[in-house]
Amino acid sequence: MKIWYALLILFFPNYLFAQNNYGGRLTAMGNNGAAVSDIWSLQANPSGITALTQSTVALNYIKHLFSDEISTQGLVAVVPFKNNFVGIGLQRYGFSEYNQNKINFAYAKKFGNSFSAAIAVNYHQLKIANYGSSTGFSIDVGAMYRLNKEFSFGAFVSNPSKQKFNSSKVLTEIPTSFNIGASYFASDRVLIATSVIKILNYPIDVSLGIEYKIINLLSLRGGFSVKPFKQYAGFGLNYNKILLDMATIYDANLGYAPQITIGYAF
Amino acid sequence: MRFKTLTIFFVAISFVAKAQITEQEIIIKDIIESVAENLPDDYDITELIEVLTRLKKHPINLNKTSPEELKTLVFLSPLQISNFFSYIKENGNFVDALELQSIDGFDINTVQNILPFVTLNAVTEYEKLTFTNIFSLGENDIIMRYAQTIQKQKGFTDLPGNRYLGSPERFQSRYRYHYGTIFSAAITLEKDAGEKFLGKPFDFLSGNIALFKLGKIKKIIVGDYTLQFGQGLTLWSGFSFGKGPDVTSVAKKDLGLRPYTSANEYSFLRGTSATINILRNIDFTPFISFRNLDASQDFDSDGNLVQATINQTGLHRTPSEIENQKSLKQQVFGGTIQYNNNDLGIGAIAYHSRYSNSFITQNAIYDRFSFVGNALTNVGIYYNYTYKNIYFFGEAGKGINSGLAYVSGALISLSPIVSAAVTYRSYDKDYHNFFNQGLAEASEAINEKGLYAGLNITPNKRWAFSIYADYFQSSWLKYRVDAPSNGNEILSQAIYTPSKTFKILARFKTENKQQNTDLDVPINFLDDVKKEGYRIEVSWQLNKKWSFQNRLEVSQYKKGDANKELGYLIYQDVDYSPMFSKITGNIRIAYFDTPSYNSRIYAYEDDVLYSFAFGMYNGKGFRSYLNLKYNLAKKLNLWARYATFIYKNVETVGTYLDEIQGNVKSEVKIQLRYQF
Repeated sequence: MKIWYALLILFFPNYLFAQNNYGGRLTAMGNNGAAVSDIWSLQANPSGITALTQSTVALNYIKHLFSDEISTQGLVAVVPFKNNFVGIGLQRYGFSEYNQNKINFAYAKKFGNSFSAAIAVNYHQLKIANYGSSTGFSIDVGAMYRLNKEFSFGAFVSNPSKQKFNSSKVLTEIPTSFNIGASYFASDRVLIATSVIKILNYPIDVSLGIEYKIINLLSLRGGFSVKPFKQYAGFGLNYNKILLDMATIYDANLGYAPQITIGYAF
Repeated sequence: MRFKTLTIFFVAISFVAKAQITEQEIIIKDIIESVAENLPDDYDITELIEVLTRLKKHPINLNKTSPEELKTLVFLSPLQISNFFSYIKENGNFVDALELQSIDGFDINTVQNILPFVTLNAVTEYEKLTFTNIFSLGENDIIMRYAQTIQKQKGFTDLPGNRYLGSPERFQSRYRYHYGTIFSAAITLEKDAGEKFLGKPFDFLSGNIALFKLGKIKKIIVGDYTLQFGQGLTLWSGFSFGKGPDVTSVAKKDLGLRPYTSANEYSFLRGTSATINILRNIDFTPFISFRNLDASQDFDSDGNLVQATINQTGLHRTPSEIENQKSLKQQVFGGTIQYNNNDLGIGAIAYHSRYSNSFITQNAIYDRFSFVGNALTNVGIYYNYTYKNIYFFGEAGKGINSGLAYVSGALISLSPIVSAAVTYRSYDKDYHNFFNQGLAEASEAINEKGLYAGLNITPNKRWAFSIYADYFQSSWLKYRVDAPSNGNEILSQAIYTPSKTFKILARFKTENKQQNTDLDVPINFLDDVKKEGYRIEVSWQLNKKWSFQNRLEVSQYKKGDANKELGYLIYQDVDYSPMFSKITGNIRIAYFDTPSYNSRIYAYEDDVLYSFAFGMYNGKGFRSYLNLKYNLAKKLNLWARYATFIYKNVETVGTYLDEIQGNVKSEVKIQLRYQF
């Protein structure tokens, strides 16, 4: 049975992991990480973490439903120091015989009230049982601009220098992507976000997502992306300092990938 | 106080009146193009236009209206209608029509659309129906239409075997009678091109007499009628909307029992039906229908006549079409019971249909689960419920001894400027129903599961956006799809209206489906088929007499590994309609170039009143038409239309019996209307 997982991963290595783990909220909004602020911006547009006012930590678990064993786990933490923000993220994807790990450190700074920029350094590791392991470095750079109360724009690039794993035998790439996006607060309860994503060697993807805060405690979210066509849905609970986000991706070929995120703001 | 009220009345009335004159013709076209997208040419939505045209003349009194009446305004969403009544409940009667703007979910565009159709002054209601009143106070409306393709089509030549037996003219006559809102009658006569005047004057004859508001009996119709309930899964005849640029159109607005006035020869019931108020908030609609349908029949091994499908075209031109005419007797009877209060509506439907000859399955494997036998019982339940800013709706339908179909969804007014629609549907491959018009990607609501989500965003007076995404999959085969398949469709649209006289629209649509490969292989595999459409349209008004519209549309088609196909259409419309002039008209000049039928483009075309079409632009060449309207007298109008296609680099136009030698196909149409 294991052979099937290995085959799946061989066939879809980039497909599965081309995008980072954006956490329950951003994922449910159609993987819109370019112009939306969230603690998980750390894995998307790192300048998005500048919207946090307290130190925050969050955990995420994704189950890939095409198999019972393959999962993604993530942990992010952000600490603000006035206009400076420091974040750390850990992520693990795979199963016992195959693992992709990533650690990232981000530094973000607010320049006035409307502009922020950030840089993140990522350390990647790929481990395959009986084959050994390989590592690589990459850098993400992002910026976000808040035009007014309603509109924000953001852009980030992941791995612009096209860094690779240090072993030449590894086919898995560290994806290079260019992202721009906009978000629109239609009211204080409705957030609509869209982004355009170009991952090198893949067609341009466009995504659209919406978040609707029904009551202060509960938000509903949904979205879709175009290439490949995927649908996203989820909800979030916000009680005192605790955040709980549930999300799922639906892909016609890969099925559902549900995930749960728990966060705590100190 | 009374003076103030009166002044507001007059201001409101003059506002409405003004809107009526300047935007009269344009608004209906706009509404139809925004709700219906690329309908096939043979769709008859006369009824829709008729209702809107009539409401223009007899606007709805906002303070005395009913949900059912507002449902006839196609551009209103069920959530808006529900909000309208909660507003009245909370705030009392309207003093000014512009108050509509303060209702939840009524954006500026909606208010602008609705204003020409509503009023605040009391409409005189003729309550008494007496024999003399019928003649003195009723309104009569007669329309006669003649149309003909000028070039000779192959079917009209002396062919051996199959050919058109009748003459190439098309005739349509319509007579409508209205007595307030309590009595109406209609007769429609039609002869299609190629049909014979067989013994009787017209090939198709349809009519009805309808009475409304007779105490406990809310409606009663004898003759041809339509029934529309719930979300269209169990019982829906006549026209229905599907996915469109207005994302709320996926929630159907059922109008229940209605007189049938369209010239479509298939989608109606013939017999009698009534809606009776049996208890407070509870209505019962029993119905019975007898019809003779067209079907091509064959003998089975026991020597009985059987058929596989019903022919829905209503064309009886060739010997075989005439032989099939009215060969299948259909009997339908049943009833619907519905409960309605302000926020909640629940209904249950049950009916039985019986056919004179049995249905058999076709040979094709994809058709394996279709209906067989000669009797079918259908049941269904539906609901809608409004909770705060959310309108929930759904329906489940089942054929006894066959599959289940259900649909469920919600319209949500997220904020004053954003509204969302979500719908999930699931239709079994063996769901049997002859009156099924549920929301679906395929032409029939069977063998499909899908999730639809859309947003309408109207940030301010100048901008309007809408976007929807629909994902669908079929667990069984379909025509030209030899395996389970899936696909998706995305539409997005932006409209910018900086001033009352200028509007620009941009629309993008992409559709990805799967279809059998075109390659010659022993076992068909599925290829991805991708269709994309880009549209830019500019409408502007030079002055009170002249207005213009330009459109560029690009279509793209790609199947599997084959090369991309690119087609385009560009047109210029000019409209001349000065106030109080006897003569008005419009003209289109278009150039189109599409490499094949796959990248064909549809566009709405102006026509004579009540005639309606999305023209199909396919191939390469020019299209032009001219419409003229001349007011002979106050109540006597004349329309004339000349339309032509001039194709480039072709020897013939059309296929099979419709083939024309040469590269030109043109049509003339003349219509006369007399109201008295």
